[in-house]
Amino acid sequence: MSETAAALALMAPPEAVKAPAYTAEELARYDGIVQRYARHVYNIAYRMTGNEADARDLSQEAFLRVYRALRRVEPGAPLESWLYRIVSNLYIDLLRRRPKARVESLDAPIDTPRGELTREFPDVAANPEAVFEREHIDGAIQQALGVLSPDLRMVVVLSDIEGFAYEEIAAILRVPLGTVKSRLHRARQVLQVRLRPYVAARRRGWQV
Amino acid sequence: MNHHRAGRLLSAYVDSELTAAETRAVQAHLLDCAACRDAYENLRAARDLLAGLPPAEPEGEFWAAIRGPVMRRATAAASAGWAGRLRAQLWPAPRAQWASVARLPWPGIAGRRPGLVLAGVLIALALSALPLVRGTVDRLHATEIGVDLYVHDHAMQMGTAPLVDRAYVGLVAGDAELVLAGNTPRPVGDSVR
Amino acid sequence: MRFAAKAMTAAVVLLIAGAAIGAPFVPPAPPAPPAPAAAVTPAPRAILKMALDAPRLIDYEGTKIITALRNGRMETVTVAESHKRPNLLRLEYLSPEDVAGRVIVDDGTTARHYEPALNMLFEDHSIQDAGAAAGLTLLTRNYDIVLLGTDEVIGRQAYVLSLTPHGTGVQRQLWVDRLTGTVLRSEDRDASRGLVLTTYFSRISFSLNLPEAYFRFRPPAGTRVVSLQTVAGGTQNPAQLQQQVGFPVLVPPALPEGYTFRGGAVSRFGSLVSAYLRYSDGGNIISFFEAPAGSIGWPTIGVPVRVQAQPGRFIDLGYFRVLIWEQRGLRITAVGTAPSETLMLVAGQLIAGREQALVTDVSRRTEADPATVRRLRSEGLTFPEIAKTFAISHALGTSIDTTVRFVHGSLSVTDLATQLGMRPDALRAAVRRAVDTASMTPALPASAPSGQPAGLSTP
Repeated sequence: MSETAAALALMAPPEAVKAPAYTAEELARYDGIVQRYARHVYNIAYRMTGNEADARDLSQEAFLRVYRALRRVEPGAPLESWLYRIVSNLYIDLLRRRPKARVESLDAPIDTPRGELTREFPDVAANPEAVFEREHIDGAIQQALGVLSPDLRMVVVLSDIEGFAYEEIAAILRVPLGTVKSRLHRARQVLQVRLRPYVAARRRGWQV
Repeated sequence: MNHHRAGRLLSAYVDSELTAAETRAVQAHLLDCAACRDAYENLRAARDLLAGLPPAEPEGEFWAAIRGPVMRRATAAASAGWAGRLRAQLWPAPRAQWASVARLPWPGIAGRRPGLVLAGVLIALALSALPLVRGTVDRLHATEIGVDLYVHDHAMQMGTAPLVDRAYVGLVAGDAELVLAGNTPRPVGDSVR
Repeated sequence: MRFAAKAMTAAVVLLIAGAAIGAPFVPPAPPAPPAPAAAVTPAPRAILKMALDAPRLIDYEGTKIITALRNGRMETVTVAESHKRPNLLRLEYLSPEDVAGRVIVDDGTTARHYEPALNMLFEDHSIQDAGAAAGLTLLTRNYDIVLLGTDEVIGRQAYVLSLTPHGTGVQRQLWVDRLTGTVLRSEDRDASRGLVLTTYFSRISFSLNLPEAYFRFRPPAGTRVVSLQTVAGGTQNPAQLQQQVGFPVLVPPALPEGYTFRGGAVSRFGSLVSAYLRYSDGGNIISFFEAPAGSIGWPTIGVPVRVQAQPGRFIDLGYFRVLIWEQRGLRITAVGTAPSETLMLVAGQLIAGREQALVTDVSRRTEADPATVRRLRSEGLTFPEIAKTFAISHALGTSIDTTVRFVHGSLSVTDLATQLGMRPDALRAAVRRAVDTASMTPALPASAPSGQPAGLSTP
């Protein structure tokens, strides 16, 4: 099957489920794919959506696609490009389905199912230990990520959280290399500003 | 390289995604420009913050749901008998094995980013040969050279084991010394750009 | 608390057991028996000694071809190598282009490395092995040294010697010249990836009277000289290092079979200060570099990994591997020829930070005084080594310090046997018995991964 046809089949919205009669070997192969990719898929989905429920839904939907297309997947083939493209597209679908969500400008707070993120940074000057608290950092980073548009956020997640090279990101997102570079550059400018106290603490050599 | 251009390339420089020529030019500019050095440190720190995030952990039922993606829809529409057969098919092994799925490394261990060389493409500024900015160079330098310094030291220590090939030690230690001195080796796949 | 300590001890034993079994390496079948004209074949150990002694007795000059993983692929490097007894060495790299012109001269104390493209001269400690004899005890203890037969290399007869570690590490095959003991050819193999290094002389001449001036190098005008003597000395123990550097120096709780602490030093590079611990089994080395977190950035090469849920970095450099992680304000970098799973396991042990619990547990099991256990830890011994030390000391009646020297390889079986008035093989048997009865076989806790280290597994 051509790559395009396979891609189309995978992107199609899920119909009523026909349960293909998979052999034990095919199920084992599916298990293998889950084992290899599920944590990364969830991680990316979580950093993109900012909450567990959406991340779970997105991941499950992505693997549902994999499950249905299992026979078209070459055994042992690397699936990152394809799988994370699905996650990215599913996230865009999710945003479109939610009337309140919109593609934000760089600085506006983003709506999530948990409500608008307007929480201020802990006042680090008054409470310096705050930079060390894991939940604070995690929350601050997630909030900062949430401020980015989905395009910028995806590139940062793939690059800085999942460790992909620019070329790989370009392949996953099907955008030119230059686009990856400029998106990452813009995203980082925003993140730096948003995470200033943590960046400053880290530069001073503190373990944050 | 002018200041404006260097500023735009800093992000890619942090990721070692520039060509050898661009890298050298940015390095040279960084030696002269305190503002860019500051921006560079900020970018690095911000990136490290993200890299240090622990992976998001899904709860236990996530795994069950992933393994049985058809189940949620199937149980709604299908008969119990059919769902039961499917369940037996999808869950051949006990659930406990899913609780401890180890995080697997990416394939292609050597060289995640293009143009990376095994001997190390850690960007390092020139050494004490530049006395005017020695203090700043040392600080910037030290935070960059971690791996190459240790690879160098380890290679030198290899010589303490009997019958290790000296020419090979000279090769590895010598390559590491070049990187420590700020010479980025010719990257693999440069022509791809 | 006790269960956790037990679990840790179990993991420690598992590590040793697993590492001792290791990846199965099957040495190649020996070639046909030597020609009848050959005289009595010397024992493998004698051939090894011949090879170790050769540099002190022989001058040579030759062209060597090296094939190694470099720049991401197997590269062939040509170098003109000259040696004058006892310890003058000159290496002039001829190809490929990016290394052509590199000259290294070594007088046994200092190595000077000149790079023509940069017009820079690096000065560093000697790359030659100063204390060959010291390492021999450990080598013979931890390696199977097998004579595979004889072979011809560039028209010369050579003994083919195989050195296979009992634990983990690179396996080496050496072609030792029958007449001079010079290593004419070598092959290094890693258990998981096969051939990682080959070297051989394409031509070699002996008994020349090479002038000493040949081994001095005068750099051209305008050369920048850089002193890179980063790791000075190398005889300090972790406790001494900790006093010098002012931050905690952690000692790995367990390591693969045969690895023992061989010395530590302070590594200084600009403002970067690191504590360096060297562990060796006599043939392979695992290094630990420890520095305050935040004093070094994270490298961009390699892959991100998780060590007990902490972020880390793993870099595969072909011949050896690097694992980097942070714990409680410390950045630790482990470098060695050990498999990645082993490094991950060792890192996991360090991160778990069960030092006190393990001290208590091991003291109890070996009926040792916890203060002594702690002192031995501060001298770099791993917990299995400490357990072994006490078991042997109890069995033979030797003092702790003597036993430690024996376990370390500073005291050979022969020497200790002489001291005790025993025959060497009787001593070996006694040691083996003591170690076996003392070996811990705790019940495996339910959560212990059976042979699968948490955090890293090959897909």
